Amino acid sequence: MRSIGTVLRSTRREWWKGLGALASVAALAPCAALAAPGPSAALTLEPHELRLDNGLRAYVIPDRSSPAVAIHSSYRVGARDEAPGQTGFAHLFEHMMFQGTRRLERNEIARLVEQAGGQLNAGTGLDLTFYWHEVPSHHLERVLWAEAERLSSLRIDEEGLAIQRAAVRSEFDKLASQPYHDANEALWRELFAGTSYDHPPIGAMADVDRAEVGDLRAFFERHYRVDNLVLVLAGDVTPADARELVTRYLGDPPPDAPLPARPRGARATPARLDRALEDATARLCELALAWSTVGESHADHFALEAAVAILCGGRSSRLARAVVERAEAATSVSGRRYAYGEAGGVILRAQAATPLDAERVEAAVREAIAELARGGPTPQELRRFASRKRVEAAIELASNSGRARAVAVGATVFDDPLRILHEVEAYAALTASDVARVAARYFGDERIRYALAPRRAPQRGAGEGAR
Amino acid sequence: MSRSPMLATAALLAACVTAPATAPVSAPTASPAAFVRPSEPPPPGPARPLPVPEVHRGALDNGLSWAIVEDHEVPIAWIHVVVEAGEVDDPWLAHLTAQQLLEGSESLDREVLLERVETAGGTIEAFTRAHQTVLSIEGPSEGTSDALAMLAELVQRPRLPDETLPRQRQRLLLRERRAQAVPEILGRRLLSRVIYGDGHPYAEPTVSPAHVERLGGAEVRAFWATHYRPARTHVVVAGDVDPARVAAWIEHGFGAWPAGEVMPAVELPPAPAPTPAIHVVDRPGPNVGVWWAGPIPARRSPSWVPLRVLVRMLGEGMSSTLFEDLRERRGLTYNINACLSAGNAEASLAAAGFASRCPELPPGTLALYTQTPQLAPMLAGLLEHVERARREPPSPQALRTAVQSLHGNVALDFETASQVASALVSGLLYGLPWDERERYRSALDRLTPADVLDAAREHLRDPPVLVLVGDAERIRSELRELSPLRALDVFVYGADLTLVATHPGEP
Repeated sequence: MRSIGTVLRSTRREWWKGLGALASVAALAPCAALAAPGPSAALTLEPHELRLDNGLRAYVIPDRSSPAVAIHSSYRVGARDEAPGQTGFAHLFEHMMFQGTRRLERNEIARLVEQAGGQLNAGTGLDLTFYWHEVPSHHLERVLWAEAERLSSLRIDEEGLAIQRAAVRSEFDKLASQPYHDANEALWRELFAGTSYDHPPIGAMADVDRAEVGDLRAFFERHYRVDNLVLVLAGDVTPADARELVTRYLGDPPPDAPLPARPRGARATPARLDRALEDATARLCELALAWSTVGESHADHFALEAAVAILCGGRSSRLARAVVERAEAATSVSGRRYAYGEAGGVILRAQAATPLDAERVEAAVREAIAELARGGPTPQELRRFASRKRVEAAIELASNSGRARAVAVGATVFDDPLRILHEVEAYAALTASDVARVAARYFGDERIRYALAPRRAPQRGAGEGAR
Repeated sequence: MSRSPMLATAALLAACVTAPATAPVSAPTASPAAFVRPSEPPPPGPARPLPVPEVHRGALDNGLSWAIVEDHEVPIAWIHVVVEAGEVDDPWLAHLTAQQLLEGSESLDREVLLERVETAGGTIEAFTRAHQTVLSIEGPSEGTSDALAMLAELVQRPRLPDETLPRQRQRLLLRERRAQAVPEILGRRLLSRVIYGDGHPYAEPTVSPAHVERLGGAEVRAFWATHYRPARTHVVVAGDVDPARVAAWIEHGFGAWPAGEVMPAVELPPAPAPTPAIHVVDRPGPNVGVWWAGPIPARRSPSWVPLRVLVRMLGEGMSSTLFEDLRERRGLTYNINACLSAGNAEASLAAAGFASRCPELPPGTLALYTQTPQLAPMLAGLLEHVERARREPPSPQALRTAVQSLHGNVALDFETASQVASALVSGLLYGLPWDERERYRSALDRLTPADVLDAAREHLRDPPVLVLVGDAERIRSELRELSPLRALDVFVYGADLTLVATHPGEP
């Protein structure tokens, strides 16, 4: 909805990065209790699950140490569900969810939460759309009332649409103002071509401009249903109170029609492409190398995460040594895996203040990848990666909002509320040969290469009255 | 080197994750005839008292102070060594010294350091702020002793090798190039110079390759020797730790650090009274970034609390006046904020909450900040709101609501150990007392509408100092539509922030 939520800028990354952070959660079977080595060693997450007959799934994670509660509503609809010509609808609709109801004025839900000292926002990803609140816990019931209000009687009208379309355009322009925005978006579209993930959540402005009230009402009817919602309450609330409140406010009768099936996301077709682009606003030279891989639901997801971390993560990564220190072909390298429910990709980037020798950079990258494919990671690299993933999960589970987010994403995208812990287990179980195999399999010749450079524009600004 | 306890524990823990899944509880939903959704929002329930976080504090004989926050929510510890040496002392040397610390110490090789931290799943980083250098490790709590020992080594006996300096300089230049392309950074940087004047410690300079080349190993070592002193160092540890043991480890690691001569903190001249004017960075793009800004008093000043309330009412959150009017009613933007960023200069500014939420601002600034494709209507709207805030005090109800909202924020701002630790580090930065949270809450309750009006009149500038980042020709064309601003001089800068043109205002 606003600065830190929409299209996931809460991660303070560009959307194509942020989405990876959001959706990096996929499905495993529920975990049995394992022996814990000591009282301070176990990572625990114990959501109480509540299922209503109307299809609503709710989870409660009590923690009474602070009088605060996080409420996370997650709908299983994202940019991947948009029809051709309707890109950006999920995100535009996220904005519309703040436009009032039969009993709430426009934006009144924000007043209700913020005047209580709370915070709220929303975000649209490729696999899901989420709405979050954090409030002092004595305001929990009011927030649930408001959430139920907008699910049952949302106001969708011309006035609200016009205002939110303008807000989305301004958001679009803000993204477009960043250096290499157009090139990065083009790279993304080529990397995910042929899948349901081939456009960013903000969509094409032409599609957003074409949206009509009737389209949005149809979108609401189709996706915003109690049986398409995962609700998580984390913090100062008991399971018994949560059950009573959830039933009171969201105990609607079941929807008449079954939930429509979701489009399947096909795997992108790997291709070999070379592009050279310039940008007048950029000041750095950059080389991006991208490979199509698989999504988080695929068994290779975990080993791919490890391969990218070993190649690019941290100060002692293989590419930092190969490209920056040994070859001196760039000043910095970074890499990221973009993984969503059913599709994924990897983009490696090398940057320098002066023009890059693309062939030299790529040769150094390929050599590092080949070495990983031949010999696999060292035991130390593998342990470092698994340990880091465990620490990252622990940090996420340190706060009410982190626990709520983790459970909501796991349950919504992968039907596994304990997904965050199952990921930790899967990373710990990886072997060197798993990582070597995916390095050989996915990082082949069919890659997309973008050579990006600043375009010098003539200096402007001098005019009449100049002195 | 002996095997790190962090490493050993991590290997053990990696295989042990406890995830007891609770059996689902099913609840029948009502029949269509029986379900009635309550039509009115329920009143808030009774508020639970806010627990006061327990902070264990102490100091060593050499002057180093420490604070420990115990919280066993997750098996993680956050360890910060905060040195009072920052960008105000020397922006580039402070940064280079911090990065060079990570190259290891006399007895701790860089590779060993990284192995010990990263193999356990931890991260180590060093960064600088206006008044601080922070060296921190975040990782499994079992490694706290080892982490403290390593950090103690790095700050007391760093290698600061010459051979890694060329790479550090290259990174610095890369960072600078990157900054020159980002509209938000360009705006912040120009704003800092406009408000404080070139040469003020809060004015953010541009890095030139020639300047960076002059930063050598001797200069870095001199910076470290001058500024890294126990009396100007604070250790903050939060998380799954035993305070008594951590205190002993701090004593063991830092207790033998000689006190040495302590340099006085850099003098911060007061910010000059800003001259109303419009400063434009010429950068193509569909949006124009807008900063309507001025300096504010230091964070520790009593004026900070009414400013804090003013900012909340005007432009913080989705229910603020600016957001509701300029975005939700007029559709002029995606994002609009009023922000305070904390500073220490007596005539500079303050902070939002206990940690700054305004990365777009230089220290000590109040700004109304937005981006818009419709500059003229946006500036007209901002003028209306500033005039109203300077003319009328808030209603008692509006003030009560804002104060209640800020009280509620405190519950959220102190939920986790790392949040409490951040608040402590910020408190150190701004010279705040340890019980600042309670003082702040009391001050909120004493505030009157007249206090807020006074803060608006003093610190919301009209005529304004405006910084705009966007297409200069388009901006100048839109400015002609705004008669209240026509009298202001317009200064136009290139992307490297050199002045390229001046257009005098209309008499």
